[in-house]
Formats: sequence, structure tokens, C-alpha cells
Amino acid sequence: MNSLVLIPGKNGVSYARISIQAPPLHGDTNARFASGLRGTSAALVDVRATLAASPWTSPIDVLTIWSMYGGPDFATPVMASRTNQDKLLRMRSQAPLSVARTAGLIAEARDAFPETPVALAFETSFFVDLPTRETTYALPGDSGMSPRRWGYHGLYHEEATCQLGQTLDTRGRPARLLSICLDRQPEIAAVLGSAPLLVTSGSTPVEGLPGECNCGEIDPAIALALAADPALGPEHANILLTQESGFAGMLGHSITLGEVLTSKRARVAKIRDHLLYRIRLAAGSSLAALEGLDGVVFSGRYAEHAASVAEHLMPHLERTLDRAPGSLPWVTCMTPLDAIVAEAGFSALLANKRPRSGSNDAWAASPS
Amino acid sequence: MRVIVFNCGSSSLKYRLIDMPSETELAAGEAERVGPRTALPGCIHHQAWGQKEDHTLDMPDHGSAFSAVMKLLERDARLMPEAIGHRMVHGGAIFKNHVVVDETVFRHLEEVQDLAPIHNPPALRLLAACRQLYPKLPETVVFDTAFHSTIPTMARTYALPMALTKEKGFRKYGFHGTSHQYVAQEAARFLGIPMPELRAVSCHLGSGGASLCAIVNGKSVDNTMGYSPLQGLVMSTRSGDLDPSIALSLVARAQGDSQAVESMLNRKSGLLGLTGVSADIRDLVGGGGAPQSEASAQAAQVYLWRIRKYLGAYLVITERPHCIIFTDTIGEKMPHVRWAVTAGLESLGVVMDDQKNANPPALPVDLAAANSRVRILAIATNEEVAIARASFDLLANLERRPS
Repeated sequence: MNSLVLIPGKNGVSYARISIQAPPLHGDTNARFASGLRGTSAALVDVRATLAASPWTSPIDVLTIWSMYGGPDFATPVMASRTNQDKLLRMRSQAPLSVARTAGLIAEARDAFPETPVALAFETSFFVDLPTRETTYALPGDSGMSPRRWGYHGLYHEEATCQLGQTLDTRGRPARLLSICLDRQPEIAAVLGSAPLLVTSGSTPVEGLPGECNCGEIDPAIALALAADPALGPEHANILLTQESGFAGMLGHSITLGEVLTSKRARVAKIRDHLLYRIRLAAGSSLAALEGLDGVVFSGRYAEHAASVAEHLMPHLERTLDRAPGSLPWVTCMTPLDAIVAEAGFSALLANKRPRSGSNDAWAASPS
Repeated sequence: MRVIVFNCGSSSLKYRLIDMPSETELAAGEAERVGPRTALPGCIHHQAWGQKEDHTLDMPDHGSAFSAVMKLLERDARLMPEAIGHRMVHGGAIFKNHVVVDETVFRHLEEVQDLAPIHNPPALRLLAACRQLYPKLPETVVFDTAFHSTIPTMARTYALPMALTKEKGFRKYGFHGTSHQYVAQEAARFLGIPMPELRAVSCHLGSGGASLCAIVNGKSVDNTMGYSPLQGLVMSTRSGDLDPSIALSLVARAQGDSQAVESMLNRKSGLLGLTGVSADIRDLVGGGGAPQSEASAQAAQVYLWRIRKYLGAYLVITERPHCIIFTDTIGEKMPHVRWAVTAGLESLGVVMDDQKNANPPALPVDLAAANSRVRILAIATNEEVAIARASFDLLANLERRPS
């Protein structure tokens, strides 16, 4: 089976063609054709031309679009059927940018690949059933808002905890897993078996751990003080907190998480100390949520630097849990996001092909 | 030395006259309805030598309330204060320690009053009145933030642009320091551990505000409250932690009225916001721990879960602490809250003796099971005694200092 994965970013769409032997669904990625970054419509036309010109001629079975936000209606990857697109559009007010970008990309993908079914993989799906006690903010009912907490690296967390879970022997008891996603906006989830109980991100990815340019958790009074500043107002305060804060704000210029984790510069070391401290706090919250811990897994685009976090974190966790040094297992999930998205697309495609009673929506996903 | 401790509310003035160093309470009371005239007249509920009395009078400001209290005390020479200790909520970055008041200190206090606009200004006005009416009485100021001045940079920093942090003074200050320090000292004494070695998680769970404090080597290393008391736990009417985007969206919805949003997040959110009917966890969770309705149950879950998350975080930060301390109204009197936030934490070394927790003997008490690595203490807080202690120590040190 072959999948073309599209991951929209700030300046365009990165893409990857991924082939997975099927069945089984969780096969190995055995080939990767191309990846790059271009602006959307034109980029997709280029992608099609590139694929056509390649010596690898097997057709694309499914085109899978990565989406940040799927809201409560999308607990799994789905085909981009008319019904599902309508559902998605109804969530516009919840996540305007993400929904608009996904909806636009579906249309552009259909134009560029009219013969290929389109699937959607959402970062939030993994967190649809997060317990109410974790999702709820203590706001009054008449505030005009009823936001809830989500996680925004659900695809990484799901894959990583699945991989870690398979390596642990918990004698039939659901494994208590700490999943640390090392990405531009790092995120930690506490997962019991396959069910997340806690996640550091919030109603938006701004809350939680600090990232390359987002502030992470701050006192709400600070956000209000910035909004009240005549030089800023709510809109510019939002830009400041989401694009000019985090590691870049603390340092005064852009820096990647990978550099923060590895740099020997004293100023960067201070930022690393701050991040590692925040990770330690979130890990402690996770211990309380899970009532213990069986293992830790790292994932994300900077997963290769997991050792520098583990070296700091694991001794603290082991001492808290009264475990011998080195006895708490930790692993790194190196599966890239595009491969995880491809798998999600395959699973949506296969689920859709299975005979279902009473559904007339089967291939509304297919281009007409 | 007789120290009178003042705890200034926006429309009230609580006081306790404490003999130091014996820490014996000689007199106490509260002036209510201080400020602009209300439907009912102002009143001072005064108590000394076991006798209670109420005095009705107008008290247009905290200065007049102070004057009236002093007149009540002056009737008995044995109750004449020798020093005044003031509680100040916020000392900002200027005051890392409690201080004896002089002209310079007073000027600096004026500079930090806007950091706690509800609490600091009346306390400062009271302080000014004291200096004017009793200029010879030494005065001290004890800050709620001072105990947290030891929070390290990595924990007190927000990931905000450097220049902005510097310009606006955005950093974690932490609050309830007077209470956290007091119960930590009591815990150290109770456990027979020198304070400079104590590692603890202190849970100050009031019926209004609440915070947790991580204590390592007797010093605060983190507090759930932040730049303001709004951050952290879900409280009676405060939201606690909130995605910054939500705060900004609320401001946008309120047509830019940040103050209205701040008021909503401080006064109408928290348990009150979640239930719509009660701001008190005691109303939501009955004595036996049974919630009274689905909304109450959910609100209680959110409240308890947030405490539990921070407790776990601080258990890791303090690494094998000697104890968890529960204090203030909810921490001292709600067994279900103590149970719910510690249940299932055996692998973290925390095991409650459920029977003892349900029916605790007099405080202070250790509620942990015999096999618990971490002791679980319930200790009554006493911020007034803590302020009297700090004031006494400050003034004693002043006397000892060579001239």
C-alpha cells in the first residue's frame, strides 16, 4: 500500500510518499520517496509531476492529510467524506486556522489528485476521551466560552506509547506510561494502557511546556496585563505569546529545541534548565495521575536528543519511586510523523472498506 | 514583648495581641465593615482575658479602625502593645525578607502596592496611620512573598521575551508564604528534623485561596501561585491555571475590558464558576465525601485533580520528602480532600492511615500509615503567630546589632 502524506505548515505543505507492506497495518516503512516544502496549490501540482516522473510507478492508495484539530467528533482517522467535511466545517469556531487550512488542503488535494481517496489524521483524536476532570477549566458557565483541554501531539503519543507498551510486561495490568514528545512545542502525556489521563497542552498548544516560540504556561494575570497594555491589546499579546516567546523570547533569537537540548552556551543552558524543570514538574503530575510509572517513551522530531532529557529526568523519577538507578525503562520512538500519518491514513481506508450496515457514506470520500 | 499583629482585609481589620516569645494570645478581634458606610454599622468584636465584647461604631478607614482597637487595648496596661506586626501580601522583587519599617522602607512599600491592588493599599494606609498615631511603637512588615524569595530562577521564570520580563517584572512570586513557612517549622519540630534539612510539600488549602509549596532544606523552591494569586490550583472563586489564549479570548469578547475579565477570573470562577451555586468545597463534598449533585461531583473532581497533579509534581521536585503537610480550613478539616489527593500514591511512598484520617485526634497529627515513607501531617496554620515570631526576631536582631 502506498500513501501520500501532506502536512501543512506555516509556509506550505511538506509531503512524503510512504509505502507500508499491508497487511499487517503496523508494517515497516520500507520506502520513502520524497519530502520537501512548498506553497500549497503549486506544490501539490509539483508533487504530482514529481511522482509521475519517478521510476516508482505503483499508484497512491490514499492521500492522508495531517490536521491539528479534529474536535470531539473525530476520535480516529477518517476518510474525508462529505459528511466528515461538513462535521469539520462545523468546528470552525473552535479552531478557525486549523479547520480552514485542512478544508482548503482537502480541496487542493482533490484538484491535484482527483483519482485518489483522501483521509484525515488528527492530532487531537488521541485526546477525545481525556477525562473531564483533566479537560475542564474552572470558568463560569456565563463566560461565553466553554473551552476544554486537548493534546496536540496525539499521533506521536499514540504511536510511541503503543511501541513502549509492547516492550513492557505488566502482567495484564494496563501499563502506566509517560510519553514525552520532543517537538517545536514539546508536550507530555500520561497514558494508562492506551488511554491518556493527562496532557500538558491546553485549549490551544500555547499552554503547557514552553516551546521554540510559544510561552507555555504562564500566570493568566500576565496575559491580562499584556492585553490591557495600550501598545499591545489582545491580538498583539497573542502574537507575542505564540510567536515571540518561548526559547526565542528568552534568548533573543530563534533556536530549535534540538539546539536547546545540546548547546554548551551558558545562556542556552539556562533555558535548558528551565525546560527540564518544567518537564520534571509535568512528569511528577503524571506519576500522580497514573499512580506510579512503568516506563517512559520519547518521540517527536527531536527524539534523537532524548538521552539529554532522560539523563536529567530518570534519576529524579527513580528516586521518587524508590527504584534502583537505571531500573526504570525508557525508550525512544524514532518513527517520523509522516510515517505515523501514513499509517493513520491506511487505517482509515481499511476501516472504510470494511462492510458496514446502514451506512451510505462509504465512498462519498472518493472524488466524483 | 507584646506584639499586635494586624491582618488587613479590604473592609476588615483582624488583630491579635501575642506575648512573645511565649506565643500566648492576650487579646484578639476583628473590625468589620471598615470603609464607606454600609447598611449595617461597623463593629469591633473584641476578646481579652476570655471576655467577649462587641462595639458598634463608624470606621470610615483602616486608620480609624486601628485607633478604635488601640483604645480598647489601652484600657488595660497589660494589653498595651510594644510592637506592631503587619501582614503584607506582596513585597515584589524589592522585599526578599521581612522588614522593620523606616522612612526608606515606607517609600519602597508605596512602590509595590500596585502588585496586590486589593490587599496592599489598605495595609499601607493602616501602616501610615500607625506611624502617625503611635510613632514610638516599632513596626514590622511580614510579606507573604518573602518565604518564596528562595525559589530558583529556573522555577520562577516565565518563557517570555527577556525585555518584556525585565520591563514588567513578570516572574513567579508565590503567596501564602507566611503560612507555608509556619507549618513547615511546626512540621520540622513535630518530626524532630532541623528546619534547614526539611523537605516537604505544604498544602495550604483555604476556604478561599489555596496553594501548594515545595520546600527543600527548609526553603521554598516552588509555589503554585505565580506572578499573582490567580495561577495554580482551582480555588473558591479563582480559576487557577488557564490557557493564556483563553484569557485573551475572554478580553476580546469583553471588548478589551481586561479588568472585567480579571474580576471574573478572580471572583466568579473556580468552584463558584463550575457549580454556579457554591464557592466552598465543603458544600460540594459532604462530610463523608459524597458529592451532592452531578455538577458538584464534577467541580469537586476538577478541584481535587488539580491539587493531585501539583502534589505529584512537587513530590518529584522535593524527592523523597519527609512529609506532606495539610493546613488551613480545608486542609485541616476535610478528611475526604486529604484522602482523595493522596489515594493510590503508594508507589510514591505516600500511604494514608484511612481510619486515622477520617477521625483525626487533635492537631498536629501524623495521618500516614506506619509503612508510609512520606509522613502525612495535618497542622493548624497560625499566620498571626508566624508574623509575631518574625516581628519579634527582627526587633531582637535590631537590638543586638551594635550601634
